[in-house]
Amino acid sequence: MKSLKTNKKISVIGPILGAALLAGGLLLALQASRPTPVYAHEVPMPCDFTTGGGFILIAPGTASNIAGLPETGQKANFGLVGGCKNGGFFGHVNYVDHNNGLHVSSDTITAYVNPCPGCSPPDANNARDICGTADVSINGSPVPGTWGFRVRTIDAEQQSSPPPKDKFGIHIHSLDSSGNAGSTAYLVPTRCLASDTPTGNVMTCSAVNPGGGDIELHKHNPSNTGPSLTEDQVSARCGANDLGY
Amino acid sequence: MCQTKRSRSGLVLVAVLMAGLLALPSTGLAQLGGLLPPPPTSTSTTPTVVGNASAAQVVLLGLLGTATSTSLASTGISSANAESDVGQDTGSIPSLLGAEVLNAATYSYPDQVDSAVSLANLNMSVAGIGIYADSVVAEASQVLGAAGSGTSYIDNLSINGMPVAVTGAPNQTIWVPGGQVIINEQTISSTGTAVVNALHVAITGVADVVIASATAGIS
Repeated sequence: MKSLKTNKKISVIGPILGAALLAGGLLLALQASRPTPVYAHEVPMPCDFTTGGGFILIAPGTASNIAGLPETGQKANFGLVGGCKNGGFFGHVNYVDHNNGLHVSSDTITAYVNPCPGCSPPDANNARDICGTADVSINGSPVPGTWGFRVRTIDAEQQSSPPPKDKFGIHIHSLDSSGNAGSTAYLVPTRCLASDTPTGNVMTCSAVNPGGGDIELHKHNPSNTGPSLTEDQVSARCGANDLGY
Repeated sequence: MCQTKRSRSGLVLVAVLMAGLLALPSTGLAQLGGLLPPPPTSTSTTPTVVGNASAAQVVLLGLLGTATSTSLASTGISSANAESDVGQDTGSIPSLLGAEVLNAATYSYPDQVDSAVSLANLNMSVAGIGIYADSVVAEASQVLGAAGSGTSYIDNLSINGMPVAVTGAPNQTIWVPGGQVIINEQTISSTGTAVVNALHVAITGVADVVIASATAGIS
């Protein structure tokens, strides 16, 4: 009888426990079936830094001519450095578009991020975005308003042998009174150095067209960290993620 | 002879003083005895760091042997875990050179120094020799304990309107009237410090111009 009572108790508890286990299992299964959160941007941790200089070409129709600026196949030169140091961001960006006389000279660097950590192909991990505020002028005349920029660099040299070309892209966006990014005003999608056409894919640069400068993604510094940014903060500082690869 | 005697006696005096100085620390240790902590078993030394990056370094030589130095977009560091950078849209030295998007940066880790410099649309005239390049980049790096290294990237270089094929080899030399142009000039010091000058124009008695110079050293 004693054992029967015990069995009876078990038989009462059993369905409850089973239901609980089933519910827990379902919950776990649901959680497992959810896609793993992928953050679109990530401050490298520990942080690295990027240097670069060179030129791209802007053939007619290869930039989003939002501002109505001429695109005549001329060069656009750039020089940059960006990274993290002592818990903050550092660097600067200078850009001159000879198609239309546009000059961009950075004032502050507000973000340095990997735009696609874990993206496929994994070589996108060589991409870094430098964002900040800038003075913008056309043919020497300052453009009224406050402006921000997002520059995309891809150091492609370690992707394969022979190494493909490095890449560069830039957009400029307006800033509201709080300093948050508005709509894109000037967009040159990412392309190979010395090339005039956006590639749209991180792997498509060839080494056929040599030259155009160099972009160097320097190794991370173990003792170096940057500020942690949420995706909303990155969007506010960098504007639209519209540069492509 | 008199001078020789003086110098010999001087040497003896210096030797005696040096011996005395060398003896002082050991005497001190003996006097303090066991009160002193044991000597450290390992030594941690602060590395000597040199990091420099400069878009242009110009020395103009005058008729009376005077030298006037000017630089564009230059920066440097001298300690580990430091960083310095500078950039400008355009830069020029009147009657000598102009360029745009000049950028220079140098960065040190605990055990490494990286320096990089770049500029575009270089347009230079030295002693009547015209030099143009679409893009000029120099990079240098040294890891502690290893020899430094570096690279130059130069696009569409021309001298007096004639295109120059850049081989990529260090210290490619082009002879010009009154001097030379060294492309991708590289030197490594005895401590491994790397100095990379993308272009070095030396015209005897007139000017010494270095375009895109990167230095990285840690020892």
